[in-house]
Amino acid sequence: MSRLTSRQRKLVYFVAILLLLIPIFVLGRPASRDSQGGVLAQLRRPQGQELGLAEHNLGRVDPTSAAMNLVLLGMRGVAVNLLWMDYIKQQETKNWAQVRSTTESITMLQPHYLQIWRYHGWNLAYNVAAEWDDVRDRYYWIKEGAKFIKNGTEYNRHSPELNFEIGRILGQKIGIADEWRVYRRYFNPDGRQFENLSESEKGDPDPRYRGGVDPELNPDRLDNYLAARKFYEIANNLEGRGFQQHLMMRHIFRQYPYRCRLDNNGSLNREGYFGEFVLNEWSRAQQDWIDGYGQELFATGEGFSVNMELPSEVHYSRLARSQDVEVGQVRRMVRSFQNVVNYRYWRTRSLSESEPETAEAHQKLYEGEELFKQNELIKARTMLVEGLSRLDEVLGRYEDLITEDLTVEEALWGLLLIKKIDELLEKPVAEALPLSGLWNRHLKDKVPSLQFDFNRRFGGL
Amino acid sequence: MSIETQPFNFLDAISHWGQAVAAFLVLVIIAACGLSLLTHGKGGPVLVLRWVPRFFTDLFQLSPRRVFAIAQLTFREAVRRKALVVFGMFALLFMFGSWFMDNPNERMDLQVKNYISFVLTAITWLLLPVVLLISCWGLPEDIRNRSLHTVVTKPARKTEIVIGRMLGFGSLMTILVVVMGVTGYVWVDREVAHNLTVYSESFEVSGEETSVEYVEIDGGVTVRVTSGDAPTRVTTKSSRASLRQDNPELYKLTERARLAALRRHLIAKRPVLGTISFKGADGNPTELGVNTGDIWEYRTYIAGGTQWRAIWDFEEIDEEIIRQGSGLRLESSFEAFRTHKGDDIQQSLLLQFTLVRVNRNVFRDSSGSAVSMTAVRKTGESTYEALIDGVAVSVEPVSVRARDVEVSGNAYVLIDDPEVAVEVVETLEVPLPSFNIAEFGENITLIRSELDHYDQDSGERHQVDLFKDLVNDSGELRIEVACLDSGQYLGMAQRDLFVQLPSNSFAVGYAKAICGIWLMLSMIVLLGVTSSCFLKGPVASLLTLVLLLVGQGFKSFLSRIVTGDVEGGGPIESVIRIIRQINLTDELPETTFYAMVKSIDSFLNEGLFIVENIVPDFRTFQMDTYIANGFDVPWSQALAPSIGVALAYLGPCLVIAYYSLSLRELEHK
Repeated sequence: MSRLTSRQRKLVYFVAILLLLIPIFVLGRPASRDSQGGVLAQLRRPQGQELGLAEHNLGRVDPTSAAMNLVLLGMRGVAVNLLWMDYIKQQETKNWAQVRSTTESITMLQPHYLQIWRYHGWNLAYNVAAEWDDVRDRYYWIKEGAKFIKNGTEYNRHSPELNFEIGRILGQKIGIADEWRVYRRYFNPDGRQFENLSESEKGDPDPRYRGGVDPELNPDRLDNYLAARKFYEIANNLEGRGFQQHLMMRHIFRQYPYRCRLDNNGSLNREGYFGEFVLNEWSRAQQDWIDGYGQELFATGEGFSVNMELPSEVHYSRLARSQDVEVGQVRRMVRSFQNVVNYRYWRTRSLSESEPETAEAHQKLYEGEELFKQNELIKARTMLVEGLSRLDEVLGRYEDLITEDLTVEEALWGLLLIKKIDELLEKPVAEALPLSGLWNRHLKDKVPSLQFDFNRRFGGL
Repeated sequence: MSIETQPFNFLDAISHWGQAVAAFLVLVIIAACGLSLLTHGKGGPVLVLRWVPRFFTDLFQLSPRRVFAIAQLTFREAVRRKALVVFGMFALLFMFGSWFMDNPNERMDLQVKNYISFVLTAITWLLLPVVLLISCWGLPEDIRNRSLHTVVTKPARKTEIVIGRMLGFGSLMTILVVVMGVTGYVWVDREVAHNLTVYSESFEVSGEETSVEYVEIDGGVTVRVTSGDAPTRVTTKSSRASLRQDNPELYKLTERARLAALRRHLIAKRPVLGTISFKGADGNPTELGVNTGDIWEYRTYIAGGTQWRAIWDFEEIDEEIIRQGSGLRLESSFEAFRTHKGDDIQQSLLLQFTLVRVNRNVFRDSSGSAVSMTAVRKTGESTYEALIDGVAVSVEPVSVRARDVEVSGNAYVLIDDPEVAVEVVETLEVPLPSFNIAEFGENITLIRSELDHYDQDSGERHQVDLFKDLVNDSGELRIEVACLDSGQYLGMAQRDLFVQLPSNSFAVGYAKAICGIWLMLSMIVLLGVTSSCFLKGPVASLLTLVLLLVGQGFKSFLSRIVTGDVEGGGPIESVIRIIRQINLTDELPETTFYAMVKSIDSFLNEGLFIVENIVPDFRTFQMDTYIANGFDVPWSQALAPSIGVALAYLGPCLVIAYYSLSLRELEHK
């Protein structure tokens, strides 16, 4: 080698490089439509089955993200830590512009780290939103949280958890927050319950959507719970295909799409919407709950699986025999699982709510309150007493409902209204009101807090 | 908007600088004399003292022509060393900057801050390493290559070499800053214009108040125009181009609105700030409001539906300010804190401004001494007397300015003499109509010159002149802010309410921010060239970098250590606590050993005190926060201190550089 001139050495190196390219090509050639690729590509796909080990199998591959990671020369962890510290400081000092952009930077460096997407999405929707005073601004930031996580699903296509979180924001945050009435109007102005509202009172307040819906989150113009249901279904679908979730136990995780219908129907009632449509929705929800969720099999961890809906002893026996276990074991596990998700309660509830008498009870209580607000005190009292009577009959038939918070609070609220009316009309306090027993039972727990809210809204008793 | 600023007093600064420099010089001369006594005997101090005036001799005899020549050569050498490669990196960053930024905020009012911060940060961090390296390596490389000999033997004075180097690197740095600054400005302007797809502006068209709302999304363009009482006209087109083609009049209107929106987003506001104080639940003055538990204590809160008030005292309110703004324009950006959602969830908090005319008087006796108001009693229509040492003395009320008064305890007192309580009399109160807060946004209140006022005492309604009736003889106006929603709180800091003067253009504010960057880089050049006079290239770079990092990131921590605000004691005590795993807040045992450790630490802390005063405060050069939040960079709070800091280091750096270079053995590599 030392006898070779400089030019000759360069030629030798060049030829060596060319020769080395051959094994590199053979080993590392990627697969494509026309070929199976090199040895490594074929190893990744034994017998033609994709093992999903490449980054593109996780989701979209972002060249900027990859470039940023390369430029950091292995210091990605340090950079991310610094960004997190900046993020916390920016949130503390309410620097919202930079909060958003720092979040983007963090996820750009770690696009496949699910916790980041989950945490930041939750933080935007729950904490950053709460810092703003105007309800339109709060709604904007809740949507930002959902959209942020939705963006994350593009990089992590097989994550049930991210889809679950989107569903939780659209369902729980929009549907249960104190501002739920306003948020639901903003989310879906097409709802039948909003028909009588003017255009300015409903629809997305963002000037880009002006009274319409945000197409990124609600392209099908659905109610928030039903839009959430779509994301929950995607999460369930992925979970069913074997992509694991680590948020909660499987039977709890999989109930959410079915719960959405139930929650939506409850909200319709609270918004004062009754009638045939709602009764049908409750029936449908009940059917979903029993025939959908109730039939799903869940592993117990004791070597056998159970489902929630086992209407008779025959079904218990059949299930036990098919898996070679004792009926007692099956019964115990089914009971345990049902208790965790309150399965029997929701079954009963959806059954009772599909009955016209129950709907009538809710409607009378709702209309009674509306009459009270319009100062029609005597009519309001009559309506409220009728509503409580109906509710009493329903609770007599479905005793399980007596433990449900919303139902109890609805009854107590009706009683509070009647007491207030009696005070205003200077009548003595009526003793024999329907559901007075419920009042006495909750005198020390629910009544004081409801009374406080009542006083704040309508003045003291 | 949340900028924390400190007022800057030039006289105090010069006095502090003088003391520090004098102390430093004295210490150095004493140390040098002491060393020379050891090395050269009795003649040593004489030699040292002979050297002292050489710098001044050199300085007054330097040749501007030679300085310019050295500067020119320095410039060329830096260019030859490819200092301008940074332009390429800058260009790359901005060409692809949009990809990285990807417009995370859909709201332009939030995104503008990111654009401006990005540009200013990019310019700073790209230029810092370049400037640092070229200024630290220039002289050491010349000494290593022995090319400095040819310069020194020209003859060129040491001061000429040092000043020439500084000027050369400084001029290159200036060119880099100017070019990058202009490019950055164009980029920001272009990005905002390009991404401004939703805006709503109001202006007068043919005498009618017209509101134009423009929305451009993937599906097309929608324009809503409301003129006076006429119904809103909605026009929808597939694109902006088709709007321009089909409806040129409407397009012009949208263009006018777009330019107004651009001016609103890219702006440099000029606020007139007031001093803030509070009235508590009992109606008495108090220094601070309520703490609602926010970690960030920038804002303090007043309770709604109570007697709590936030008070701003504005000074130098003259008719010119009112005329320029067609009234007194107030801008506020308070923060809401709710203890409950409120009866109407869709309503934001309700607040009210009250304009108050106040007269502030301090009582003085015949000798001019101030007497506390608590000792004064009224004896006649306009006569007062005070009991001083048991003797009744006649006193007179003398007007005092708001800037001389502060709240202490529950009283107004003189700042110069907190024992003297001041009389503050509110002679006229004019409440304005209440309005709903727009949190984190702009709340503009225009107060006309003539106000309608209902006098509750007389039961009459009459006109009140803003300037004549409400602004007192010293040009001061008080504004009280109240939150009207019971159970809610309104948060404020000093800068959350100000009088709006006609704004400067964004270019002016941006240019000032670029000046701040230029001043910071000039400091780097100063420090770099100075350190390279007595250190080799790598070590000089390290020293300058450390000064930068400490001055930028650790200055406040250093100050807290020096003042003893940091728990855990000094350096040796900290090490002992770490090794023995003793908590920061635990008291150490009272033994001789620990007492000795504490004394050593207090001695070391004195050393830190010197370090703290030597390291320049690079935080004064940070001006991007102002312009990013839409404010002009103020002279007294930002530009003046940074110029002061830069000038303060110029003299000492020249002196150190001269003596270092003179005493350095240039033959030695």
